[in-house]
Amino acid sequence: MVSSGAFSGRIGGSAYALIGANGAGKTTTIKVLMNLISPTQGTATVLGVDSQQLPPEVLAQIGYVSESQVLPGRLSVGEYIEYLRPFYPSWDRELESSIRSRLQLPPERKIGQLSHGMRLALGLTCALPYRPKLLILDEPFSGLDPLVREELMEGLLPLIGDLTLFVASQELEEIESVATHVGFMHAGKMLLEEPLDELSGRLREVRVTLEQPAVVPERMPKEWLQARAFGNVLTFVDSRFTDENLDERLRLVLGPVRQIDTQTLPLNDVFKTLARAARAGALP
Amino acid sequence: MSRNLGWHIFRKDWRLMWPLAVATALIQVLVMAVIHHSEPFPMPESKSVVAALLTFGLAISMTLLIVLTVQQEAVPSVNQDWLTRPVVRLDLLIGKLLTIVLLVHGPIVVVDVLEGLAEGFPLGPVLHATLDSNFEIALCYSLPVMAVAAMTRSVVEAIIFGLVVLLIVVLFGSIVSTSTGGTGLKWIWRVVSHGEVLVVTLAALCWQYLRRSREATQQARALFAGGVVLFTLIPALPWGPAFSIQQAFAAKPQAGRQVRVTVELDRPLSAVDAAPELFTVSKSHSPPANRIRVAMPLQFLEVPAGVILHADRSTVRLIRGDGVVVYRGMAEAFDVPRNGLYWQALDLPEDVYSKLAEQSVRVELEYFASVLRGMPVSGQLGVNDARRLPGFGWCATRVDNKNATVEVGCRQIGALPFCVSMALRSSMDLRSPREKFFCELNYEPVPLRFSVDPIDHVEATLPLIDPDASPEVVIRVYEPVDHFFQEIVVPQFRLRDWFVGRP
Repeated sequence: MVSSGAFSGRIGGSAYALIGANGAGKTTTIKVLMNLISPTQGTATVLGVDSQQLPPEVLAQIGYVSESQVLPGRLSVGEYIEYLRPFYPSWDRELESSIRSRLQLPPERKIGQLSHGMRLALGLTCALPYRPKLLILDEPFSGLDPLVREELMEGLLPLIGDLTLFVASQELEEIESVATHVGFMHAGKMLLEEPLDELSGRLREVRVTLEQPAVVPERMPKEWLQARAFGNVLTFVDSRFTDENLDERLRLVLGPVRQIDTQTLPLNDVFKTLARAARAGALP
Repeated sequence: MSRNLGWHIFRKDWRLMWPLAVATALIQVLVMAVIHHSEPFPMPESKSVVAALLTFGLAISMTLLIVLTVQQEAVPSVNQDWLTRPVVRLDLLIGKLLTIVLLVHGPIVVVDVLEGLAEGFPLGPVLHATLDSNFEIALCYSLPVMAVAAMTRSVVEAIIFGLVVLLIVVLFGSIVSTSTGGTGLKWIWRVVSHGEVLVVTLAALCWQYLRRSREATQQARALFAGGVVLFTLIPALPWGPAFSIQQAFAAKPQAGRQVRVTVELDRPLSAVDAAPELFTVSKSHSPPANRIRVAMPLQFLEVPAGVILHADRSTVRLIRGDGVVVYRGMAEAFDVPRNGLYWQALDLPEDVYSKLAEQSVRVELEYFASVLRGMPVSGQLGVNDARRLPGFGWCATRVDNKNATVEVGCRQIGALPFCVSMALRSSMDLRSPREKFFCELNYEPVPLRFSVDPIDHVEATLPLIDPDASPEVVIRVYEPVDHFFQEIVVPQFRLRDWFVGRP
């Protein structure tokens, strides 16, 4: 239960996507951030405060939604929202009404009778009306239907204003459009953390068409990941991509080159590349 | 954030827990309906069984209500939504305490007050006794259960934790010997243990609720477990300091000063036949095997009239001629008979006796005794009479079907005197009647009733010798007035000469 490495968290007004395979430590990290569990070593800081000492004043600025969150099943949706309101001085009832109508939660329904997706929607409804400075979402999309996902990312989050989003999810397509920063965890360690545009810039799929049949070179630069050959074409992901002297560098390794194509990777492919490299111990 | 949300949290808990709270209150009412006394005599056995079952159900229901309410916001949880909410922990603690006060104790107070009023006691004393008994329930039950619930995540965990606590109490309780338990000084360890329970429980609760560290639960559990172990050690409070405390509270510190004790070694051993209790098995405890009983005639002199002289503790040491202490032991507590002669039984290990039987040994005896003075007649009742007696509450008498005994029963709101004598006095014979004592020794300086029942009661059966002599029941109260210590040294004592058999 150790998450090691560091991420800044100082990304006000932006969205941080924490990605990693199952069991990488994403949820554990979030629980440490929310003081739900203690770190076995080290410390975590949230909004400038040691996570183990988060006072109510700071918690009032944090929204947290998790798929494993236990809500009081015998209260109705309306009763629970009514219960939470007084704890948040900045609770905005108009915003609450707007969110409730968008997510269409039946106020009289007992929480225990809600589906998994509706429960997540309730979690969101209870995490947004006080306009948190930081919204932490742990697998928020599992069980949400596509319309609600879209509503959340494109309809609700913009309502909050100056919000920092911290999201751990396997549903990378959903967060790709909003993520500004990415952290990649593997086996409890933060292996990589940088702005998404920088990551997209340096992590490119390179497709090289050679004069002769392609073979994956026995010795190739360690930045080249997932190299595979088919016919005359060699494809790999360059984890330190730069346009500078590209032809020349490729020729030095591969010989005569007929054509070079590069393209940015969607977040999903970034994740798969990083995960495979991490598993193979080849992440540069 | 400054707004106190304890009441808000309580209202939420009420929404969730009201069915169980109402069920608990209904069981309270049922218990009251069953145990309600139409007269101050013991309940019939069938009724007692129903009352015991209902009380057991009530205990389960109260426990569930406390545990489930507290665990609505389980502190040790890692998934509960409330943990990430800006809930001020003090508000949460206040909210949970409000639940216990209003949903658990509220119905008990209402039911107890109604019962007290239904039995004809005035409202003031009823309220006082009810609050006293509720304090006892809170201290010995509700608060410890709340602490256990706060340190666990589920009912099952709470039960397991509770069983571990019980195991510690039983285990240590069986090892630790009590010096003051069963004596009039027991109030001292009760006060100390109540104080300890209060401090430890509140400390564990505050530690658990007010510290936001995730290690707080383990620390609170360790604190609570340490408190439980300490609780089991409190009965081992040393006798000497406890007796000194008792002496400091004596109402008349000189009342026992003139009492002297001598050993009458010139009294023939055959006189021991007048003390048949020496030959019967002890009622209070079974003596260990392989013991030999030696009896020593003690004469208590200058015992003031109208008092009971009670030896709370007696110790004995046998010292050989060369100064070696060969035996050290304790004798049973006893009341000094009216004639002042008491045969002190010394139950010696067989091997000690066989080695020393023919030798002359030095015997050192220590007596820690109390003087209980009889107050003027406190109450009189005719046969088949019922009335309210000051200090005794609602009392009644009745003759049994065989016309052989008179049953006496009294019910009082709050505490009855701890030591009373009752006697049947015939109008034809005005001599002092033979008193029968009903005492559970308790020398507390102020009434500290450690009971969960606001109504105290005493029942007695007196032999009816002459039903036609218009007998009346005379009740007297005995109160402790002094506590003193005496040491007796018998320089030369041959055990063989005073052998009476095996206990």
